[in-house]
Amino acid sequence: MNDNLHTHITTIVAEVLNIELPSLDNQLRSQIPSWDSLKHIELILRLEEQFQVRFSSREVAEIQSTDDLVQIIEVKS
Amino acid sequence: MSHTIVVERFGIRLRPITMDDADFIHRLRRSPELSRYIGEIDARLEVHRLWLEQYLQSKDDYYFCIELLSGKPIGTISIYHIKGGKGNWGRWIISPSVPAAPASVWLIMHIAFNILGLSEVYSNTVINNASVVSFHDNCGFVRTGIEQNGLTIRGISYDMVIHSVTRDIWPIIQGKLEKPAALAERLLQEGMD
Repeated sequence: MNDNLHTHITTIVAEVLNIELPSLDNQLRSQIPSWDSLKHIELILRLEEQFQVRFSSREVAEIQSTDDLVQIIEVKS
Repeated sequence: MSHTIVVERFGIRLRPITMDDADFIHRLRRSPELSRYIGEIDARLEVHRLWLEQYLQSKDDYYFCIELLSGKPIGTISIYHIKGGKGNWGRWIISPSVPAAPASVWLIMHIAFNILGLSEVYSNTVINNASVVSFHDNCGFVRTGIEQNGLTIRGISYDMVIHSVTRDIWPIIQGKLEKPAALAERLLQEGMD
């Protein structure tokens, strides 16, 4: 996995959710209460804009962690 | 109550609940994934159908099915306990696989303020239901109180967080929800059906 990309995405996740992430390790959506369904969509919007990619509906539904985001963006960009 | 309000935007529609929705609502409310923090419902479908029949005879209670434009139901939402220009919005259950939460809230607020002419709506969320409490906070709904032991589920009492939205802050929330709702519409068009 691309470390720079991972750091970049994790930083964006922290900004959108307005939280400090404890580390750059994989963060699970289920363990971050503020990663709610509204913030999830806001995060997708921000990442699409930042990386000039488009997520599919299936991907949006299946993303459960920061690693999931990195993997999808790595493939698309 | 039996009503005729239908609204449609962002790839979804809110339309009145009917007796034909009884099975769907019963399944939805008994789903382990979705029912963790909502009031318990009798396991017997016929009891639920009776409740729905009574609902249709009630007053000041607007219960909606949230559905895709294809007609596929994906959840429920309602406004009830309307008194003095205020209403309780709730019974909000939506399939997590469909990104239509912001859109459904946009539409129910539109009904509350622009169709029913309410001045305020409020909701009660189990405090342990962290992601839904967060959703309300992030929408810009204002925390106005805590209802101690407001709901008992499977023998455990939970405090409820009360969030309110007044007509004057609705335009701000409306603006906040529109972009996420529009993205959801694109995703729905691309193939959630």
